[in-house]
Amino acid sequence: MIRLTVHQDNIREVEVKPGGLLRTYLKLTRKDVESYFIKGAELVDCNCPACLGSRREKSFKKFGLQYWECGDCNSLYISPRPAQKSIDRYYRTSEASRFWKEELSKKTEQKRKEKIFKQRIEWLTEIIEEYLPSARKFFSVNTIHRPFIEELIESKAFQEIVVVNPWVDLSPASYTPGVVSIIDGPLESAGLVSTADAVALFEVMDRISDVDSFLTSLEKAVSPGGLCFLTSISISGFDLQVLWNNSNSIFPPDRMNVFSIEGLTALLERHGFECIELSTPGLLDVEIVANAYRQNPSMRLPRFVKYMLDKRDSETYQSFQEFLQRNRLSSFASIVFRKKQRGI
Amino acid sequence: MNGKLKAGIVGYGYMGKIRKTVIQDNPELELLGISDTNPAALADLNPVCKTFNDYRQLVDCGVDIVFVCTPNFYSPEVVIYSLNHGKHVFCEKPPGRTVDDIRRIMHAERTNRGVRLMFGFNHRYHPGIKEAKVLVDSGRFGKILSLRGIYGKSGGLSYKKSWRNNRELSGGGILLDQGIHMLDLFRFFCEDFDEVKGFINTSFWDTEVEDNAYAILRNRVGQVAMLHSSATLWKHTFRLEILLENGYLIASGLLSKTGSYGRETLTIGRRQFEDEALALGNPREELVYFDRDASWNLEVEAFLDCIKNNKCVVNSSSQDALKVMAIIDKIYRDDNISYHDSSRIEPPQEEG
Repeated sequence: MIRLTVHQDNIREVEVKPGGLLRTYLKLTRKDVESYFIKGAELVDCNCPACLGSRREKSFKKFGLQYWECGDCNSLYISPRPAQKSIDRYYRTSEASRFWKEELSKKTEQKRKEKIFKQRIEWLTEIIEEYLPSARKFFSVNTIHRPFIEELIESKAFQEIVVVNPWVDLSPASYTPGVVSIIDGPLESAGLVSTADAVALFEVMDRISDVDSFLTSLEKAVSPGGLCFLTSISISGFDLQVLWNNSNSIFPPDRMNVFSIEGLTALLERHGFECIELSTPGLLDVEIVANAYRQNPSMRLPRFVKYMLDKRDSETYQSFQEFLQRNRLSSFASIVFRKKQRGI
Repeated sequence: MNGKLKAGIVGYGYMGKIRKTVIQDNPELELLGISDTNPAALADLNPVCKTFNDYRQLVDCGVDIVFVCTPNFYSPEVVIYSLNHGKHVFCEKPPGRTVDDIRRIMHAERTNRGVRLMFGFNHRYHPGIKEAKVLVDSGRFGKILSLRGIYGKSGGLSYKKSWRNNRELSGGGILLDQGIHMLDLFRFFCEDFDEVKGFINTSFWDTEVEDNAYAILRNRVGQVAMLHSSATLWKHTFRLEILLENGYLIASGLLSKTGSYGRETLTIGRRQFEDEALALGNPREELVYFDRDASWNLEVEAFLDCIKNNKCVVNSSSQDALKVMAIIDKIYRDDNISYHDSSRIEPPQEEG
């Protein structure tokens, strides 16, 4: 059974990504990408990380790195790309990363908690109740959102929370002792075997350099029947397809992989996972395109999109957004997959 | 218990064919034979399995489980014969035509203690219903206040000719055929209902049985459930609304072979006190769509679990069948309808 979830909510782009802060973040990222990856790291060429296809077409460059569109699954990806070690270092030490954690994330923390993290916890607890009520050990991998961990602890949904390779400072002072533990290194070198009942991969897969090796380690770490919760942006979505290289959401290293829905499905199946939910419950596609168009009215847009934005009101935008969700065409994907039990 | 269980099917019509696929898909089952009184129906089955024209031959050919997929008139006889011959029985709903039928079946069940009996209330295993049940049981939405169910067909050319509208064979109309599923779901979500009021109508189709049934039920904790079971909706419809203290759940559409009931969805609405000023009466909703119906397989897996692990059947048991038949009987009697004299009985007592 594959679930598809559609959300109707009233989140606004500006609430979670205020324009000024986002611009500063992008400026700092451009600078850091140059010093960490263009000048300071070895880059490795790769095939499509989703379907391994070698057919590809040059798309555009962002911050000096080349994006390609896969000729088979239409995922968008950077090649050549930095190794995971450099990426880990970037997220732990770069100025852009510091700005994200200390400025952007903090200033929008309340809204993010209310509109994003509480709902994510509800989502994962509901799925776990249905598919794996015996789950006890919850893992969060490459965590970039400290408020998520705080909300998770507060929810008391799990007896044990393990944070693997956090990219944010998780000070032990804020935790209930014995509930949260930290593995301070990448999943690939943690040597975990059938340990995790449930795993959160929120905005993680977008930034992984060696996707295959990451998923191989994940498959080992998860117990049979264990559940993984993945969120990411998806190139199958409306705003990314329309804005393409003009999208403020596509840039390295945060979005080194921008998988299509088809690519993500192929990737998970190749690693022996079974999809339980495949949704694109994004709420912001139309608003993002409308905002981009408002800021730059001379922007080239498909005639239909321009017409809709010019002539129709927020009710049409909302119902179009719902259409995108229902058809897995929004650019925010949320996926639940599980490790197959032996013999199934 | 080790090895595959040998299964046989009695009645190779619409449901018999579905059961054949389910059996063949299940690694714990082996299809041994199929019986049908119509030899033409069995023509293509050789060499898939043995075929019979008399169900007794099938029951006696070495099967462990009998799947009873016959019209309502025949089901009790086949079930009772199978139970009395030591076979586990999975019987499609309804469990016959009357409360008397299910009581006779239960008597046979009690006298053959080692065998397991389950009825095909597969809607309990539909993904939207399963998800709704998890949410209700989690307690996050509070207690159920009321239920409202609409289940209906568009009728169609074959409707009038169907054995389901032949009173002698079926025992009742749309209520006994389809409405029974919704009533079973009412019981699945709430406590038993002890008060039942109903109307039935033959409002459009020229048939011997009702084409519409309307019922309102209440239980001792005050939960109220309303049913409209209809063959005049002109559009295949399934919709179950569950209203709770802190929100609502709406299971709508059904994954089916033809897809005619629409995409199966569960709408989850949360009562949002703090947002009421912003969206009065229009709370945030979440819609969950489901792409695959595993209900037929899941209910058989649950049945096999009971057989293999010597567990009692608690879901879709004979007790469930009895109670839902008692509600149907009350609805018919409430409108002074009795298709069979034998259904003129007092409400059933709790069976052991």
